[in-house]
Amino acid sequence: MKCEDCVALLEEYGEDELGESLSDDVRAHVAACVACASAFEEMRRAEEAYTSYFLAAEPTSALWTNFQQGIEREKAARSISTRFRQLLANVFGVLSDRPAYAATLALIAVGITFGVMKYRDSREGSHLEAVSVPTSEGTDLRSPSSSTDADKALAMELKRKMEDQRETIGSDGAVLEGNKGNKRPRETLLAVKRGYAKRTKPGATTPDAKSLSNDSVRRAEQRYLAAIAALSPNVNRRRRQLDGGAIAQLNQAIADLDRMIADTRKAVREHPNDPLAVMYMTLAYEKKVEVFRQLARS
Amino acid sequence: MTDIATAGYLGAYAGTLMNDVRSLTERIRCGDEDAFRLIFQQHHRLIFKFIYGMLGDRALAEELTQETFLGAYRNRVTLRDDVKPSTWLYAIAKNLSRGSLRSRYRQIKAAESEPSPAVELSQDQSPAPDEQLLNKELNRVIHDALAELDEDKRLVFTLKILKQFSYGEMAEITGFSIPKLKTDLHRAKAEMRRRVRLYLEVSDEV
Repeated sequence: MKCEDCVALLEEYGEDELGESLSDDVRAHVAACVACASAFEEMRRAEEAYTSYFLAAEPTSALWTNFQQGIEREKAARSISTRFRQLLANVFGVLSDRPAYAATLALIAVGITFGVMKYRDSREGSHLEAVSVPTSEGTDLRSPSSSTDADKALAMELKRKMEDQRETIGSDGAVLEGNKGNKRPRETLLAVKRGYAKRTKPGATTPDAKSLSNDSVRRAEQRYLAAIAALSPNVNRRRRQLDGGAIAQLNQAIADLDRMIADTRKAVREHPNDPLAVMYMTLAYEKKVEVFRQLARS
Repeated sequence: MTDIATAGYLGAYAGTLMNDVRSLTERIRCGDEDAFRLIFQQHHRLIFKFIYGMLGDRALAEELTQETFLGAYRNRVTLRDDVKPSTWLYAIAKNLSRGSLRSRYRQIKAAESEPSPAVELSQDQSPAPDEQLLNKELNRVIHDALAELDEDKRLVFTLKILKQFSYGEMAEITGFSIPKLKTDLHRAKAEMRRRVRLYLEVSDEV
């Protein structure tokens, strides 16, 4: 065997990767050749140095304890995730299988939203109805003596309302509510003016009944907001304990509920005297509060 | 014992071993904590050394070793019957190491200028004889040389030095072909030898 052939095989020889016959040849050559023996010795010492390097690296004794704690956290997270899936199944009365109840939840949200939209479309096309802007004093702005006087009274009322609530007017004329940076359009000046110019049909609800309806809507809204505010800290704490999949489902469920609430609120604002619109809105509030309540308790 | 009887005995023994491995696999899939304790005890030190070889950072190696076993626990149902738990664990450790390397590439480069790993690993603060100093210096050189290897070569080199995996097992862990493994290992060893040769010669003179 030549030296160049031997050197090319030294690594595999050292790793016992050569067949028996070739190993014998290399062994015999190394025994007889000083240069190849030196090369093989260098290789061997390098391997020893690498092994010594890795031998010196040892983990700490805390590794097993940390691993056990990690497993306990995994078990706790799985338990919460399982209980949350059961909670959603109980709340919405559907199977706890992820794709099935996620799809069912989406269908419920779509169905209610569609129903509300169809209801609103049918009501807008069927009759004219005054759009009352409830004020803090309960003043009914529907029946001014003349359009000019009505416009002036409306402008003054809105101006006062804006000053009270620190509202600003958007570039499109929308009255925006300033609420900790969360601005959303409630109703446009144009819609208010248009609605203000309409007259109610004979036999429409009396101002007193209207005020009562507005009051009940406001009370429902206040109760809803108070309940969500009270429950949100616990819900957020539970949310942090869920795994990624459960968090995504929870967020989707809450987003669907919020969409329902926004649509029903809009319907109530446009048709505050309609008990069906108020019922839809109250139902949506109750659903969200119930979800939060059960999640906070789990 | 005749050759056939020996073969039969060995076959039965191999079968028993396979059954033991399979039952351990099933227990791991079921989340049996004793099974996890067993594989932890068997493999955690080498897994740590493997990750340390890949990353050159002791604290990070410890963190990712824990993450390797936690990841194994989370994904225990994915362990197949035809895969050894050790191969599975090293594959998880490999993925975690490579992910860490990609996100911490600059920190790895910075680690090359960190204090000598020999200092980090040794608690001995007393003046050391020449040979020990030389070993510390050699460890530093090996640490730096490992960091200079590209990821693939470092991976193959570390696996081979640590556990003497067969090429078939390394192919399972790394996903590389056997020809690539052999080529990368040969080149990795050549580069490492080039870096440490001087220190091996000097130690010879001590």
